[in-house]
Amino acid sequence: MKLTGIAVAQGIAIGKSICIDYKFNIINYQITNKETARELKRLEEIISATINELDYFSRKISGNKNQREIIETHKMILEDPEMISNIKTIVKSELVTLEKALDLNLQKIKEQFSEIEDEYFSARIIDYQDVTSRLLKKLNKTETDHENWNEHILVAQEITPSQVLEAFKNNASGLISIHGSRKSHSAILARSLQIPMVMGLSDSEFEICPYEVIVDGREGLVIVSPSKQEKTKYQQELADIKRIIRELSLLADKEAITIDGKVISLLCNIEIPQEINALDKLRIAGIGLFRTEFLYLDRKELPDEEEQYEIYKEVAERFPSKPITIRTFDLGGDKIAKSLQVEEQNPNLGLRGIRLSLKYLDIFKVQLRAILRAAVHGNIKIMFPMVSNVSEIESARKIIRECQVELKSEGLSYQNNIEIGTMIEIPSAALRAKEIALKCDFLSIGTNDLVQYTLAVDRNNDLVAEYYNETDPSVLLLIQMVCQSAHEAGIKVAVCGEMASQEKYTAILLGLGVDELSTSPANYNEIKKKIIQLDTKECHKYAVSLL
Amino acid sequence: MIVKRIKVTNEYGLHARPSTLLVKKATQYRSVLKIRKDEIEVNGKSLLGVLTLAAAYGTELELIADGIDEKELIEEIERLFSSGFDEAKK
Repeated sequence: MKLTGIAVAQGIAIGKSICIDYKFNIINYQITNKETARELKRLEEIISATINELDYFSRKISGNKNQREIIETHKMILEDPEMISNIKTIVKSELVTLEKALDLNLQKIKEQFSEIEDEYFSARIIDYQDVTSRLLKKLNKTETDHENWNEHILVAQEITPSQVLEAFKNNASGLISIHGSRKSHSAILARSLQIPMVMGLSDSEFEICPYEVIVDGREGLVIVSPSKQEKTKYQQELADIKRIIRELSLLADKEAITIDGKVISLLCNIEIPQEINALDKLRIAGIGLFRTEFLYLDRKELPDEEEQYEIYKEVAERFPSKPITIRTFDLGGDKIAKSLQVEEQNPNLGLRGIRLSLKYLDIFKVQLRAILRAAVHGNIKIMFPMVSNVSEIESARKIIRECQVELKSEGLSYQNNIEIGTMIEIPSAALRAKEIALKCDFLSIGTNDLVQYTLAVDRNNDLVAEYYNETDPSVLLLIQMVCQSAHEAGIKVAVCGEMASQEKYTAILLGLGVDELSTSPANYNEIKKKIIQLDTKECHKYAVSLL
Repeated sequence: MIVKRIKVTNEYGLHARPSTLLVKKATQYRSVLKIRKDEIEVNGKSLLGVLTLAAAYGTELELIADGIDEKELIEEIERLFSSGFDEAKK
C-alpha cells in the first residue's frame, strides 16, 4: 500500500514501524497483589514530581495570567483526592500497571464528561487529557528505554523535536509524522540529522503500524508492506545512498582546501539549537549563521534575557574557540511573531529584519544583552539581517554600545570587543558594500533574499519560479562587488544562503571571491568534497565568463 | 453541620477557573464540604467533582459543611460566590 505525504527529510529507510504515541505505548501487564504497593508508590512519586514541575513552570511564566491559571487547574487535578483514590482503586482491583490505570481513569472521566450536555463544561476533558499525557510521558521517560527504536521506523501523530533527537541517538532509521509541516522544528532537525522523514499523511497510524514499511523522504512516500520487487528496488537505492554517505564521512578529517591551496572556512547554519547534535561528526570550522527566529515564533510570549543567554551560552560552550555568528531576529516578511503582529500589504518590502529591531528597541536590546553576556563564554559574533543602508548599522552599533554601558553599570560580565557584521541581501546594501564594509568586521551574503530582491521574484510563488535564477549575471555581479569591497576594507565575506549548500554553485562563489561558506549540516560534507576538487584560478575564470 | 443554599451568579458558571478557586479555598479548611445539585452530591475538595456538576449561570446549589471550622468554611465559600469569583456577573 502506497501512501503519499510531504517529503520532509531526504533519504530512504526500510524497517519495521512502531508507534511512539503514548497511548499505544502504555506498559500493560497483569501485576500481582504484591506489586500493587510498588505501583502506588510510583503514583505518589510521579504526582509530586509533576506538581514540582508545574510550580517551576508557574514561576517561569509569572507574567502570563492565562497560562498560570491553566497550570493552577492542572495542579488541582493532580491534588484531587477523589481522582487519586480512583486511580488507586483501579490498580488494586484490576491489578494493572500505573500506566494502564491512568489510561482507564481517563476513560472513566471521559464517560462522566460525555454525559454533561453543556459543551462549555464537557470541553474541560481536555485538561484531564493533558494531565494524563503529562504523567504518562514523565513515566515513560524514567521507565522505558528506547532500545527497540534501533533500526525501526517511528510513527506518531506529531513527532516532537525531542523525539527526533531521541530517534537519532537510538539509531532509528526513519520517521513518519501523521501531522506536521516542512517548516516545523521536527522537520528542520530531521534534515540536519539526516533521518529520512515523511509528514502529513491523510492515513492513520493504525494503517502503518506495526508492519514493514519503506519511508522515501525524497518523494514523500510511505509504502506499507511492500512487494518483493518494491523492496528490492529500494534496498538497492538505499545501499547506494549509504555508500555515498560513508564516502563523504571519510572527509571529516580533511580540511576544506582547494587544489591550489586556498583554505576555505566551511561553516554550518543552524535554525534551532538542537541541531548542534548533528555537527559532532562534521568537525565544522564554526557556525556561520545561528538563526534566532525560533525564539520568537510559535509562542505567545517573548523570550527573556536569561532564556536567550542560556541558549547562546550552551552553543558557545559546545564549540570552544570556534566562531559562532548569531544573527539577530529576522522577523517580519513571512515570519511573524505572534506578539508582533502587524498588518502589511507587502510584508517582504515592509517592517522586517533590522528595521523591525530598530523600531522595537526594547525587544532588540534584550537579545543584544543576552548575546553580549553569552559572548564571554566563546567566540560569538553578532550579525544584522536585512540591512539596506549604512545608517542602520550605525544605529545598531550605537544600541550595542548602550547595552554594554548598561551591563557594565549592572556589574554583569559581557564581551566588550565583539565582532559585528551584516547580512548583504538587499541590492542597495550590495551596491553600497564599500561604505558598509568600513563599518563592519565581516559581511555575509544571504543569497535567497538577494536573488528575490534583485530579480523581483517571490521565491515562494510557483507562477514565477522560472524567473528565480541564482546565477543571473546581475546577482553574480552584486556578489562580486561585495567581495571586492570587503577585501579592500580588509574584511572577509561569507555566503550563508542556500547557494552555499548547493555544490553546483561552489565553483562560482569561490570564483567571485567568497572566503567562507556556511552550509546546512546535511550538505556539509558534499560541499567540502567539492571544494577539495576545485582550483580557485579556474573558478575565477568560470565565474567571470558568466558575468 | 451547616447547610446553605446558593446561586451561581457569574456569567460562565463554575467552569475551570472558578472551580479551581473554590477547591483551593475549600482544601484550606479541615471541615468536609459537599456540594449538591439536585440529586447529585460531590466532594467540594475534588476538582473533578465540582467540574462534573456542570453548574452553569443561575444554577442553585446546596453547600453542606461539616467539621470544626465549618462556619468559616461556609462564609469563605459564600464570599467567593457573591463576588462572582472575580469574574463578570451576568
